[in-house]
Amino acid sequence: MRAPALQAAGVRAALGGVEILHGLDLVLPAGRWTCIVGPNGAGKSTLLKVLAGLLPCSGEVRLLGSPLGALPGRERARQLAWLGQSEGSAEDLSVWDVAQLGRLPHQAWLAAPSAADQAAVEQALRATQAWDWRERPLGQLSGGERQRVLLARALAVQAPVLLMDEPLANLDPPHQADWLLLVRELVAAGRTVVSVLHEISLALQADELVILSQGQVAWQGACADAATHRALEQVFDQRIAIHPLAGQWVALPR
Amino acid sequence: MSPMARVHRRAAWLALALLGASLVLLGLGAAVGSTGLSDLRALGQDATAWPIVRDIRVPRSLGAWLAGALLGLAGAVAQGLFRNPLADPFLLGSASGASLGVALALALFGINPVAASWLAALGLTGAAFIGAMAAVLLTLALARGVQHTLRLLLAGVIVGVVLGALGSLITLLVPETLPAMQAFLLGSTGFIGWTACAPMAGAFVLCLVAAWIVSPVLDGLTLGEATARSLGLPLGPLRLALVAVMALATGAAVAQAGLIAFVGLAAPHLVRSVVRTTHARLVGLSALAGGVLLLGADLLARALIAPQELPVGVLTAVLGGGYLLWLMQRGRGAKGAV
Repeated sequence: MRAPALQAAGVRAALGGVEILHGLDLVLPAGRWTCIVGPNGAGKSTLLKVLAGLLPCSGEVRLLGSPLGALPGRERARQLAWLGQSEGSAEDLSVWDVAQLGRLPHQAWLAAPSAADQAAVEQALRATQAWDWRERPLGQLSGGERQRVLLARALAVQAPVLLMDEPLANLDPPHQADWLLLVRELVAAGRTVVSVLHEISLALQADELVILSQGQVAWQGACADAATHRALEQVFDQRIAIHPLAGQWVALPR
Repeated sequence: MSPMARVHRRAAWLALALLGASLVLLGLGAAVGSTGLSDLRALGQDATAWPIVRDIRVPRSLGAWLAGALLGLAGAVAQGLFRNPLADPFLLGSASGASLGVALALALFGINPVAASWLAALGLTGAAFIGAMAAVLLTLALARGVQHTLRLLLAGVIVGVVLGALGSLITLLVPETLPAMQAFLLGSTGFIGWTACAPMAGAFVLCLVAAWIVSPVLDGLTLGEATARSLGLPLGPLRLALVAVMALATGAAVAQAGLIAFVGLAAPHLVRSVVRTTHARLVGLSALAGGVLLLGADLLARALIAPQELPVGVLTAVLGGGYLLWLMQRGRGAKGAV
Protein backbone atom coordinates (compact mmCIF):
# COMPACT_ATOMS: atom_id res chain seq x y z
CA MET A 1 0.00 0.00 0.00
CA ARG A 2 1.18 3.52 -0.83
CA ALA A 3 2.49 5.52 2.18
CA PRO A 4 0.42 8.60 2.96
CA ALA A 5 1.79 11.77 1.34
CA LEU A 6 1.93 13.62 4.65
CA GLN A 7 1.32 12.65 8.26
CA ALA A 8 1.26 14.90 11.30
CA ALA A 9 1.16 13.54 14.84
CA GLY A 10 0.79 15.69 17.95
CA VAL A 11 1.94 18.80 16.06
CA ARG A 12 2.17 22.01 18.06
CA ALA A 13 3.34 25.23 16.42
CA ALA A 14 3.46 28.85 17.55
CA LEU A 15 3.65 32.22 15.80
CA GLY A 16 5.12 35.15 17.71
CA GLY A 17 4.92 33.23 20.99
CA VAL A 18 1.23 32.34 20.56
CA GLU A 19 0.40 28.65 20.04
CA ILE A 20 -1.64 28.26 16.83
CA LEU A 21 -1.73 24.48 16.37
CA HIS A 22 -2.58 22.51 19.52
CA GLY A 23 -1.37 18.92 19.18
CA LEU A 24 -2.85 18.30 15.75
CA ASP A 25 -3.06 14.82 14.12
CA LEU A 26 -3.59 14.41 10.38
CA VAL A 27 -3.05 11.85 7.61
CA LEU A 28 -3.18 13.07 4.00
CA PRO A 29 -3.49 10.30 1.39
CA ALA A 30 -1.15 10.22 -1.62
CA GLY A 31 -2.48 10.79 -5.13
CA ARG A 32 -5.41 12.94 -3.99
CA TRP A 33 -6.29 16.61 -3.87
CA THR A 34 -6.99 17.71 -0.33
CA CYS A 35 -8.21 21.17 0.57
CA ILE A 36 -7.69 22.73 3.99
CA VAL A 37 -10.48 25.12 4.98
CA GLY A 38 -11.61 26.84 8.14
CA PRO A 39 -12.51 30.22 9.61
CA ASN A 40 -9.97 33.05 9.72
CA GLY A 41 -7.28 32.37 12.31
CA ALA A 42 -7.96 28.61 12.43
CA GLY A 43 -4.28 27.92 11.58
CA LYS A 44 -4.61 26.87 7.91
CA SER A 45 -1.49 28.64 6.60
CA THR A 46 0.45 27.70 9.74
CA LEU A 47 -0.45 24.03 9.20
CA LEU A 48 0.64 24.19 5.55
CA LYS A 49 3.99 25.73 6.55
CA VAL A 50 4.51 23.05 9.19
CA LEU A 51 3.72 20.32 6.61
CA ALA A 52 6.27 21.93 4.27
CA GLY A 53 8.93 21.99 6.98
CA LEU A 54 9.08 25.80 6.87
CA LEU A 55 7.99 26.41 10.46
CA PRO A 56 9.50 24.79 13.55
CA CYS A 57 7.07 22.61 15.47
CA SER A 58 6.94 19.93 18.13
CA GLY A 59 5.47 16.55 17.32
CA GLU A 60 6.20 14.62 14.15
CA VAL A 61 5.65 15.31 10.47
CA ARG A 62 6.33 12.60 7.88
CA LEU A 63 6.66 13.15 4.14
CA LEU A 64 5.99 10.04 2.04
CA GLY A 65 6.78 7.93 5.10
CA SER A 66 10.09 9.62 6.07
CA PRO A 67 10.49 12.00 9.02
CA LEU A 68 10.46 15.48 7.42
CA GLY A 69 13.06 16.94 9.80
CA ALA A 70 15.59 14.22 8.96
CA LEU A 71 15.45 14.83 5.19
CA PRO A 72 18.31 16.94 3.75
CA GLY A 73 17.04 20.29 2.42
CA ARG A 74 17.54 19.51 -1.29
CA GLU A 75 16.01 16.05 -0.97
CA ARG A 76 12.95 17.54 0.73
CA ALA A 77 12.76 20.23 -1.96
CA ARG A 78 12.66 17.56 -4.70
CA GLN A 79 9.84 15.68 -2.94
CA LEU A 80 7.71 18.66 -1.93
CA ALA A 81 7.02 21.86 -3.86
CA TRP A 82 5.67 24.93 -2.10
CA LEU A 83 3.67 27.88 -3.37
CA GLY A 84 3.25 30.47 -0.64
CA GLN A 85 0.92 33.41 -0.19
CA SER A 86 2.31 36.73 -1.49
CA GLU A 87 5.74 35.43 -2.39
CA GLY A 88 8.49 38.06 -2.76
CA SER A 89 8.28 40.48 -5.63
CA ALA A 90 11.21 39.29 -7.82
CA GLU A 91 10.52 42.40 -9.94
CA ASP A 92 13.73 42.16 -11.92
CA LEU A 93 13.83 38.47 -12.75
CA SER A 94 12.30 37.38 -16.03
CA VAL A 95 9.39 34.94 -16.07
CA TRP A 96 11.76 32.25 -17.35
CA ASP A 97 14.32 32.93 -14.58
CA VAL A 98 11.60 32.73 -11.91
CA ALA A 99 10.27 29.40 -13.22
CA GLN A 100 13.86 28.17 -13.55
CA LEU A 101 14.29 28.65 -9.78
CA GLY A 102 12.01 25.63 -9.38
CA ARG A 103 14.79 23.50 -10.85
CA LEU A 104 17.37 24.53 -8.20
CA PRO A 105 16.81 21.37 -6.09
CA HIS A 106 17.65 19.22 -9.14
CA GLN A 107 20.76 21.08 -10.31
CA ALA A 108 24.37 20.96 -9.20
CA TRP A 109 25.35 24.32 -7.67
CA LEU A 110 25.87 26.96 -10.42
CA ALA A 111 25.45 24.33 -13.14
CA ALA A 112 23.82 25.48 -16.38
CA PRO A 113 20.26 24.14 -16.75
CA SER A 114 20.19 20.73 -18.45
CA ALA A 115 17.87 19.87 -21.34
CA ALA A 116 15.60 18.15 -18.80
CA ASP A 117 15.50 21.34 -16.69
CA GLN A 118 14.64 23.46 -19.72
CA ALA A 119 11.93 21.00 -20.76
CA ALA A 120 10.42 21.02 -17.23
CA VAL A 121 10.37 24.84 -17.15
CA GLU A 122 8.82 25.06 -20.62
CA GLN A 123 6.18 22.48 -19.70
CA ALA A 124 5.32 24.36 -16.49
CA LEU A 125 5.11 27.74 -18.24
CA ARG A 126 2.92 26.31 -21.00
CA ALA A 127 0.68 24.58 -18.43
CA THR A 128 -0.05 27.95 -16.78
CA GLN A 129 -0.21 29.81 -20.11
CA ALA A 130 2.77 31.95 -19.14
CA TRP A 131 5.12 30.77 -21.91
CA ASP A 132 4.53 33.82 -24.13
CA TRP A 133 5.84 36.21 -21.46
CA ARG A 134 9.00 34.21 -20.70
CA GLU A 135 11.35 37.12 -21.45
CA ARG A 136 9.34 39.76 -19.57
CA PRO A 137 10.36 40.86 -16.06
CA LEU A 138 7.92 39.74 -13.38
CA GLY A 139 7.55 43.39 -12.32
CA GLN A 140 5.73 44.17 -15.60
CA LEU A 141 2.96 41.60 -15.07
CA SER A 142 -0.45 42.00 -13.43
CA GLY A 143 -1.27 40.27 -10.12
CA GLY A 144 -3.05 37.37 -11.84
CA GLU A 145 -0.33 36.91 -14.47
CA ARG A 146 2.28 36.91 -11.72
CA GLN A 147 0.37 34.25 -9.80
CA ARG A 148 0.42 32.01 -12.87
CA VAL A 149 4.21 32.42 -13.17
CA LEU A 150 4.67 31.58 -9.48
CA LEU A 151 2.47 28.52 -9.97
CA ALA A 152 4.70 27.54 -12.92
CA ARG A 153 7.72 27.90 -10.63
CA ALA A 154 6.17 25.43 -8.18
CA LEU A 155 5.16 23.05 -11.02
CA ALA A 156 8.69 23.14 -12.47
CA VAL A 157 9.96 21.36 -9.34
CA GLN A 158 8.02 18.28 -10.58
CA ALA A 159 7.69 17.12 -6.96
CA PRO A 160 5.30 14.26 -6.09
CA VAL A 161 3.71 16.45 -3.38
CA LEU A 162 2.57 20.03 -4.07
CA LEU A 163 1.51 22.40 -1.26
CA MET A 164 -0.24 25.65 -2.20
CA ASP A 165 -1.45 28.44 0.06
CA GLU A 166 -4.29 30.41 -1.56
CA PRO A 167 -3.14 29.65 -5.13
CA LEU A 168 -6.25 31.24 -6.66
CA ALA A 169 -5.58 34.68 -5.21
CA ASN A 170 -5.71 37.30 -8.02
CA LEU A 171 -6.91 34.77 -10.63
CA ASP A 172 -9.99 35.60 -12.68
CA PRO A 173 -12.73 32.92 -13.03
CA PRO A 174 -11.45 31.48 -16.37
CA HIS A 175 -7.97 31.03 -14.88
CA GLN A 176 -9.46 29.60 -11.69
CA ALA A 177 -11.15 27.01 -13.91
CA ASP A 178 -7.81 26.35 -15.65
CA TRP A 179 -6.18 25.86 -12.26
CA LEU A 180 -8.85 23.31 -11.26
CA LEU A 181 -8.24 21.44 -14.52
CA LEU A 182 -4.49 21.50 -13.95
CA VAL A 183 -4.83 20.14 -10.42
CA ARG A 184 -7.06 17.31 -11.66
CA GLU A 185 -4.44 16.43 -14.29
CA LEU A 186 -1.70 16.42 -11.65
CA VAL A 187 -3.73 14.15 -9.38
CA ALA A 188 -4.61 11.86 -12.31
CA ALA A 189 -0.85 11.56 -12.92
CA GLY A 190 -0.41 10.31 -9.34
CA ARG A 191 0.72 13.56 -7.69
CA THR A 192 -0.61 14.79 -4.35
CA VAL A 193 -1.98 18.32 -4.08
CA VAL A 194 -2.72 20.01 -0.76
CA SER A 195 -4.13 23.52 -0.91
CA VAL A 196 -5.49 26.12 1.46
CA LEU A 197 -8.50 27.89 -0.06
CA HIS A 198 -10.77 30.42 1.61
CA GLU A 199 -13.36 30.12 -1.16
CA ILE A 200 -15.47 27.18 0.13
CA SER A 201 -17.27 26.50 -3.16
CA LEU A 202 -13.92 26.05 -4.94
CA ALA A 203 -12.58 23.95 -2.04
CA LEU A 204 -15.60 21.64 -2.39
CA GLN A 205 -14.27 20.63 -5.83
CA ALA A 206 -11.38 18.77 -4.13
CA ASP A 207 -11.35 15.05 -3.32
CA GLU A 208 -11.06 15.56 0.44
CA LEU A 209 -11.65 18.37 2.85
CA VAL A 210 -9.76 19.01 6.09
CA ILE A 211 -11.73 21.43 8.25
CA LEU A 212 -9.64 23.28 10.80
CA SER A 213 -11.01 25.08 13.81
CA GLN A 214 -8.98 26.72 16.57
CA GLY A 215 -5.77 24.87 15.71
CA GLN A 216 -7.35 21.41 15.63
CA VAL A 217 -8.76 19.19 12.87
CA ALA A 218 -12.52 19.50 13.33
CA TRP A 219 -13.35 17.14 10.44
CA GLN A 220 -11.74 15.26 7.59
CA GLY A 221 -13.78 13.60 4.87
CA ALA A 222 -14.78 13.39 1.23
CA CYS A 223 -16.11 16.64 -0.26
CA ALA A 224 -19.25 14.91 -1.56
CA ASP A 225 -20.27 13.52 1.88
CA ALA A 226 -23.28 15.04 3.61
CA ALA A 227 -21.43 14.66 6.94
CA THR A 228 -18.60 16.88 5.60
CA HIS A 229 -21.16 19.52 4.59
CA ARG A 230 -22.72 19.42 8.06
CA ALA A 231 -19.29 19.76 9.69
CA LEU A 232 -18.55 22.76 7.46
CA GLU A 233 -21.81 24.48 8.36
CA GLN A 234 -21.15 23.85 12.04
CA VAL A 235 -17.57 25.20 11.97
CA PHE A 236 -18.84 28.37 10.28
CA ASP A 237 -21.56 28.76 13.00
CA GLN A 238 -24.37 27.80 10.56
CA ARG A 239 -23.66 31.06 8.68
CA ILE A 240 -23.22 29.13 5.42
CA ALA A 241 -25.32 26.47 3.72
CA ILE A 242 -24.08 23.90 1.20
CA HIS A 243 -26.34 23.42 -1.84
CA PRO A 244 -26.10 21.26 -4.95
CA LEU A 245 -25.93 23.22 -8.21
CA ALA A 246 -25.35 21.82 -11.71
CA GLY A 247 -23.67 18.70 -10.38
CA GLN A 248 -21.38 20.64 -8.00
CA TRP A 249 -21.58 21.80 -4.40
CA VAL A 250 -21.69 25.49 -3.59
CA ALA A 251 -21.50 27.29 -0.26
CA LEU A 252 -23.87 30.25 0.10
CA PRO A 253 -24.16 32.65 3.03
CA ARG A 254 -27.28 32.17 5.13
CA MET B 1 19.11 28.30 -28.30
CA SER B 2 18.28 29.35 -24.76
CA PRO B 3 14.90 31.08 -24.42
CA MET B 4 16.75 33.90 -22.66
CA ALA B 5 19.38 34.40 -25.40
CA ARG B 6 18.21 37.97 -26.10
CA VAL B 7 18.58 39.03 -22.45
CA HIS B 8 21.94 37.30 -22.17
CA ARG B 9 23.17 39.04 -25.32
CA ARG B 10 22.05 42.38 -23.93
CA ALA B 11 23.92 41.71 -20.66
CA ALA B 12 27.04 40.77 -22.65
CA TRP B 13 26.83 43.99 -24.67
CA LEU B 14 26.46 46.04 -21.49
CA ALA B 15 29.50 44.29 -19.98
CA LEU B 16 31.53 45.05 -23.11
CA ALA B 17 30.38 48.70 -23.13
CA LEU B 18 31.28 49.13 -19.45
CA LEU B 19 34.67 47.46 -19.97
CA GLY B 20 35.32 49.74 -22.94
CA ALA B 21 34.30 52.81 -20.92
CA SER B 22 36.58 51.67 -18.10
CA LEU B 23 39.56 51.42 -20.45
CA VAL B 24 38.88 54.84 -22.02
CA LEU B 25 38.48 56.45 -18.58
CA LEU B 26 41.65 54.74 -17.31
CA GLY B 27 43.51 56.17 -20.33
CA LEU B 28 42.08 59.62 -19.61
CA GLY B 29 42.96 59.25 -15.93
CA ALA B 30 46.59 58.63 -16.90
CA ALA B 31 46.66 61.51 -19.41
CA VAL B 32 44.89 64.21 -17.37
CA GLY B 33 46.86 66.16 -14.81
CA SER B 34 46.82 69.57 -13.16
CA THR B 35 48.07 71.01 -16.45
CA GLY B 36 45.23 69.52 -18.45
CA LEU B 37 45.12 66.73 -21.03
CA SER B 38 48.44 65.50 -22.40
CA ASP B 39 49.32 63.01 -25.11
CA LEU B 40 50.18 59.73 -23.39
CA ARG B 41 52.78 58.87 -26.08
CA ALA B 42 54.58 62.15 -25.43
CA LEU B 43 54.40 61.56 -21.66
CA GLY B 44 56.06 58.17 -22.18
CA GLN B 45 59.09 59.93 -23.72
CA ASP B 46 59.30 62.52 -20.94
CA ALA B 47 61.65 61.42 -18.15
CA THR B 48 60.15 63.92 -15.66
CA ALA B 49 56.50 63.34 -16.45
CA TRP B 50 56.51 59.56 -16.83
CA PRO B 51 57.13 58.73 -13.10
CA ILE B 52 54.14 60.97 -12.26
CA VAL B 53 51.97 59.04 -14.67
CA ARG B 54 53.31 55.65 -13.54
CA ASP B 55 53.34 56.19 -9.77
CA ILE B 56 50.53 58.70 -9.21
CA ARG B 57 47.97 58.98 -12.03
CA VAL B 58 47.72 55.32 -13.07
CA PRO B 59 47.44 53.80 -9.55
CA ARG B 60 45.05 56.57 -8.54
CA SER B 61 42.80 55.96 -11.53
CA LEU B 62 42.98 52.21 -11.14
CA GLY B 63 42.31 52.63 -7.41
CA ALA B 64 39.26 54.81 -8.10
CA TRP B 65 37.94 52.16 -10.50
CA LEU B 66 38.57 49.37 -7.97
CA ALA B 67 36.92 51.30 -5.10
CA GLY B 68 33.90 52.01 -7.31
CA ALA B 69 33.73 48.38 -8.43
CA LEU B 70 33.88 47.19 -4.81
CA LEU B 71 31.09 49.59 -3.82
CA GLY B 72 28.96 48.63 -6.85
CA LEU B 73 29.38 44.97 -5.99
CA ALA B 74 28.57 45.61 -2.31
CA GLY B 75 25.45 47.55 -3.36
CA ALA B 76 24.19 44.74 -5.64
CA VAL B 77 24.75 42.18 -2.88
CA ALA B 78 23.07 44.39 -0.25
CA GLN B 79 20.02 45.08 -2.43
CA GLY B 80 19.60 41.38 -3.21
CA LEU B 81 20.31 40.17 0.31
CA PHE B 82 17.94 42.60 2.00
CA ARG B 83 15.41 42.50 -0.88
CA ASN B 84 15.39 46.22 -0.78
CA PRO B 85 16.26 48.54 -3.68
CA LEU B 86 17.35 51.20 -1.17
CA ALA B 87 19.88 48.99 0.57
CA ASP B 88 23.33 50.48 0.21
CA PRO B 89 26.52 49.90 2.18
CA PHE B 90 26.06 53.40 3.64
CA LEU B 91 22.41 53.07 4.60
CA LEU B 92 23.07 49.85 6.53
CA GLY B 93 25.77 51.45 8.66
CA SER B 94 28.63 49.42 7.22
CA ALA B 95 30.46 52.46 5.87
CA SER B 96 30.27 54.22 9.26
CA GLY B 97 31.46 51.00 10.88
CA ALA B 98 34.35 50.83 8.45
CA SER B 99 35.30 54.45 9.15
CA LEU B 100 35.16 53.78 12.91
CA GLY B 101 37.48 50.81 12.33
CA VAL B 102 39.88 53.06 10.44
CA ALA B 103 39.68 55.78 13.14
CA LEU B 104 40.46 53.19 15.81
CA ALA B 105 43.38 51.81 13.79
CA LEU B 106 44.74 55.33 13.26
CA ALA B 107 44.41 56.19 16.96
CA LEU B 108 45.79 52.92 18.32
CA PHE B 109 48.54 52.12 15.84
CA GLY B 110 49.16 55.48 14.24
CA ILE B 111 48.68 54.10 10.74
CA ASN B 112 48.62 56.91 8.27
CA PRO B 113 46.36 56.38 5.26
CA VAL B 114 48.93 58.19 3.15
CA ALA B 115 51.60 55.74 4.31
CA ALA B 116 53.08 53.86 1.43
CA SER B 117 53.56 50.63 3.32
CA TRP B 118 51.77 47.60 1.94
CA LEU B 119 51.21 46.28 5.46
CA ALA B 120 49.62 49.56 6.58
CA ALA B 121 47.20 49.42 3.65
CA LEU B 122 46.31 45.85 4.51
CA GLY B 123 45.93 46.73 8.23
CA LEU B 124 43.52 49.56 7.40
CA THR B 125 41.50 47.25 5.13
CA GLY B 126 41.31 44.69 7.95
CA ALA B 127 40.19 47.32 10.49
CA ALA B 128 37.61 48.68 8.05
CA PHE B 129 36.34 45.14 7.28
CA ILE B 130 35.88 44.32 10.99
CA GLY B 131 34.15 47.67 11.57
CA ALA B 132 31.84 47.18 8.56
CA MET B 133 30.96 43.61 9.53
CA ALA B 134 30.23 44.63 13.15
CA ALA B 135 28.06 47.54 12.00
CA VAL B 136 25.97 45.39 9.64
CA LEU B 137 25.46 42.72 12.32
CA LEU B 138 24.48 45.45 14.79
CA THR B 139 21.98 46.88 12.28
CA LEU B 140 20.51 43.42 11.66
CA ALA B 141 20.24 42.77 15.41
CA LEU B 142 18.52 46.12 16.00
CA ALA B 143 16.12 45.57 13.08
CA ARG B 144 15.46 41.98 14.23
CA GLY B 145 16.19 40.56 10.80
CA VAL B 146 15.70 41.83 7.29
CA GLN B 147 11.96 41.39 6.78
CA HIS B 148 10.84 44.82 7.88
CA THR B 149 12.21 47.36 5.40
CA LEU B 150 11.48 50.49 7.39
CA ARG B 151 12.92 49.05 10.60
CA LEU B 152 16.03 47.93 8.72
CA LEU B 153 16.68 51.33 7.20
CA LEU B 154 15.97 53.09 10.49
CA ALA B 155 18.34 50.77 12.33
CA GLY B 156 20.97 51.43 9.64
CA VAL B 157 20.60 55.18 10.07
CA ILE B 158 20.86 54.89 13.88
CA VAL B 159 23.94 52.66 13.72
CA GLY B 160 25.48 54.99 11.14
CA VAL B 161 24.94 58.07 13.30
CA VAL B 162 26.15 56.44 16.54
CA LEU B 163 29.26 54.88 14.99
CA GLY B 164 29.96 58.13 13.12
CA ALA B 165 29.79 59.99 16.44
CA LEU B 166 32.15 57.49 18.06
CA GLY B 167 34.57 58.00 15.17
CA SER B 168 34.42 61.79 15.72
CA LEU B 169 35.01 61.25 19.44
CA ILE B 170 38.18 59.29 18.71
CA THR B 171 39.39 62.05 16.42
CA LEU B 172 38.73 64.55 19.19
CA LEU B 173 40.61 62.49 21.78
CA VAL B 174 43.57 61.81 19.48
CA PRO B 175 43.91 65.07 17.51
CA GLU B 176 46.91 63.74 15.52
CA THR B 177 44.50 61.60 13.50
CA LEU B 178 42.45 64.66 12.52
CA PRO B 179 44.05 65.50 9.13
CA ALA B 180 44.06 61.87 8.03
CA MET B 181 40.47 61.37 9.16
CA GLN B 182 39.28 64.55 7.47
CA ALA B 183 40.64 63.41 4.11
CA PHE B 184 39.08 60.04 4.82
CA LEU B 185 35.65 61.42 5.69
CA LEU B 186 35.52 63.60 2.58
CA GLY B 187 36.33 60.60 0.43
CA SER B 188 39.30 61.03 -1.83
CA THR B 189 41.20 58.97 -4.34
CA GLY B 190 44.16 61.35 -4.24
CA PHE B 191 46.19 59.19 -1.84
CA ILE B 192 45.74 55.87 -3.60
CA GLY B 193 49.07 54.44 -4.72
CA TRP B 194 50.09 51.00 -5.94
CA THR B 195 50.26 49.76 -2.32
CA ALA B 196 46.59 50.64 -1.80
CA CYS B 197 45.56 49.09 -5.14
CA ALA B 198 46.92 45.68 -4.12
CA PRO B 199 44.54 44.95 -1.18
CA MET B 200 41.62 46.42 -3.15
CA ALA B 201 42.36 44.21 -6.17
CA GLY B 202 42.70 41.17 -3.91
CA ALA B 203 39.44 41.94 -2.11
CA PHE B 204 37.69 42.61 -5.43
CA VAL B 205 38.63 39.25 -6.95
CA LEU B 206 37.71 37.44 -3.71
CA CYS B 207 34.36 39.23 -3.35
CA LEU B 208 33.44 38.84 -7.03
CA VAL B 209 34.11 35.09 -7.00
CA ALA B 210 32.34 34.61 -3.64
CA ALA B 211 29.32 36.69 -4.68
CA TRP B 212 29.05 34.78 -7.96
CA ILE B 213 29.19 31.43 -6.15
CA VAL B 214 26.48 32.45 -3.68
CA SER B 215 24.34 34.31 -6.27
CA PRO B 216 21.62 31.59 -6.62
CA VAL B 217 20.64 32.40 -3.02
CA LEU B 218 20.02 36.03 -4.02
CA ASP B 219 17.79 34.86 -6.88
CA GLY B 220 15.91 32.50 -4.54
CA LEU B 221 15.44 35.24 -1.95
CA THR B 222 13.62 37.43 -4.48
CA LEU B 223 10.67 35.05 -4.00
CA GLY B 224 10.74 35.47 -0.24
CA GLU B 225 12.33 33.63 2.62
CA ALA B 226 9.84 30.71 2.82
CA THR B 227 10.06 29.93 -0.90
CA ALA B 228 13.86 30.16 -0.87
CA ARG B 229 13.97 27.66 1.99
CA SER B 230 11.43 25.40 0.28
CA LEU B 231 13.88 25.19 -2.64
CA GLY B 232 16.43 23.59 -0.29
CA LEU B 233 18.75 26.62 -0.16
CA PRO B 234 20.87 26.67 3.03
CA LEU B 235 19.98 30.26 3.87
CA GLY B 236 21.75 30.62 7.24
CA PRO B 237 25.40 30.07 6.25
CA LEU B 238 25.03 31.58 2.78
CA ARG B 239 23.43 34.73 4.13
CA LEU B 240 26.34 35.15 6.52
CA ALA B 241 28.73 34.65 3.60
CA LEU B 242 26.93 37.42 1.69
CA VAL B 243 27.12 39.79 4.68
CA ALA B 244 30.86 39.02 4.84
CA VAL B 245 31.24 39.74 1.10
CA MET B 246 29.38 43.03 1.49
CA ALA B 247 31.45 44.02 4.54
CA LEU B 248 34.77 43.09 2.92
CA ALA B 249 33.93 44.93 -0.31
CA THR B 250 32.80 48.05 1.58
CA GLY B 251 35.69 47.83 4.05
CA ALA B 252 38.33 47.46 1.32
CA ALA B 253 36.95 50.43 -0.63
CA VAL B 254 36.37 52.69 2.38
CA ALA B 255 39.79 51.91 3.91
CA GLN B 256 41.60 53.22 0.83
CA ALA B 257 39.27 55.84 -0.65
CA GLY B 258 37.33 57.08 2.38
CA LEU B 259 33.60 57.64 2.53
CA ILE B 260 32.23 57.74 -1.00
CA ALA B 261 28.45 57.94 -1.04
CA PHE B 262 25.83 56.64 -3.46
CA VAL B 263 28.05 54.65 -5.86
CA GLY B 264 26.90 51.42 -4.18
CA LEU B 265 23.28 52.50 -4.43
CA ALA B 266 23.34 53.86 -7.98
CA ALA B 267 25.42 51.22 -9.80
CA PRO B 268 22.90 48.33 -9.55
CA HIS B 269 20.02 50.68 -10.45
CA LEU B 270 21.88 51.84 -13.56
CA VAL B 271 22.47 48.22 -14.62
CA ARG B 272 18.81 47.31 -14.01
CA SER B 273 17.67 50.24 -16.12
CA VAL B 274 19.44 48.62 -19.09
CA VAL B 275 19.03 44.89 -18.46
CA ARG B 276 17.09 42.84 -15.92
CA THR B 277 18.89 39.63 -15.23
CA THR B 278 19.87 37.12 -12.54
CA HIS B 279 22.22 38.04 -9.71
CA ALA B 280 25.11 36.02 -11.16
CA ARG B 281 25.25 38.63 -13.93
CA LEU B 282 23.93 41.61 -11.95
CA VAL B 283 26.75 41.43 -9.40
CA GLY B 284 29.48 41.54 -12.06
CA LEU B 285 27.74 44.23 -14.12
CA SER B 286 27.15 46.38 -11.01
CA ALA B 287 30.86 46.13 -10.18
CA LEU B 288 31.77 47.31 -13.70
CA ALA B 289 29.19 50.13 -13.48
CA GLY B 290 30.50 51.16 -10.04
CA GLY B 291 34.05 51.29 -11.40
CA VAL B 292 32.99 53.46 -14.36
CA LEU B 293 30.91 55.77 -12.10
CA LEU B 294 33.63 56.43 -9.54
CA LEU B 295 36.44 56.74 -12.07
CA GLY B 296 34.26 59.11 -14.11
CA ALA B 297 33.46 61.13 -10.99
CA ASP B 298 37.15 61.19 -10.08
CA LEU B 299 38.07 62.63 -13.48
CA LEU B 300 35.33 65.22 -13.08
CA ALA B 301 36.56 66.08 -9.56
CA ARG B 302 40.01 66.65 -11.00
CA ALA B 303 38.79 68.74 -13.94
CA LEU B 304 36.01 70.94 -12.49
CA ILE B 305 38.19 73.46 -10.63
CA ALA B 306 41.59 72.53 -12.13
CA PRO B 307 44.42 72.97 -11.22
CA GLN B 308 42.81 72.34 -7.82
CA GLU B 309 40.61 69.32 -7.28
CA LEU B 310 37.42 68.47 -5.39
CA PRO B 311 37.27 65.50 -3.01
CA VAL B 312 35.48 62.89 -5.14
CA GLY B 313 33.24 61.92 -2.19
CA VAL B 314 31.70 65.40 -2.24
CA LEU B 315 30.98 65.06 -5.96
CA THR B 316 29.41 61.58 -5.70
CA ALA B 317 27.28 62.76 -2.77
CA VAL B 318 25.89 65.66 -4.82
CA LEU B 319 25.43 63.67 -8.05
CA GLY B 320 24.18 60.53 -6.28
CA GLY B 321 21.75 62.51 -4.12
CA GLY B 322 20.38 64.16 -7.24
CA TYR B 323 20.00 60.76 -8.92
CA LEU B 324 18.15 59.39 -5.89
CA LEU B 325 15.79 62.37 -5.84
CA TRP B 326 15.13 61.88 -9.56
CA LEU B 327 14.38 58.18 -8.94
CA MET B 328 11.93 59.10 -6.18
CA GLN B 329 10.26 61.68 -8.39
CA ARG B 330 9.92 59.15 -11.21
CA GLY B 331 8.63 56.54 -8.76
CA ARG B 332 5.80 58.86 -7.77
CA GLY B 333 4.25 58.86 -11.26
CA ALA B 334 4.81 55.26 -12.24
CA LYS B 335 5.76 52.20 -10.23
CA GLY B 336 9.48 53.01 -10.01
CA ALA B 337 12.42 51.44 -8.29
CA VAL B 338 12.10 53.55 -5.13
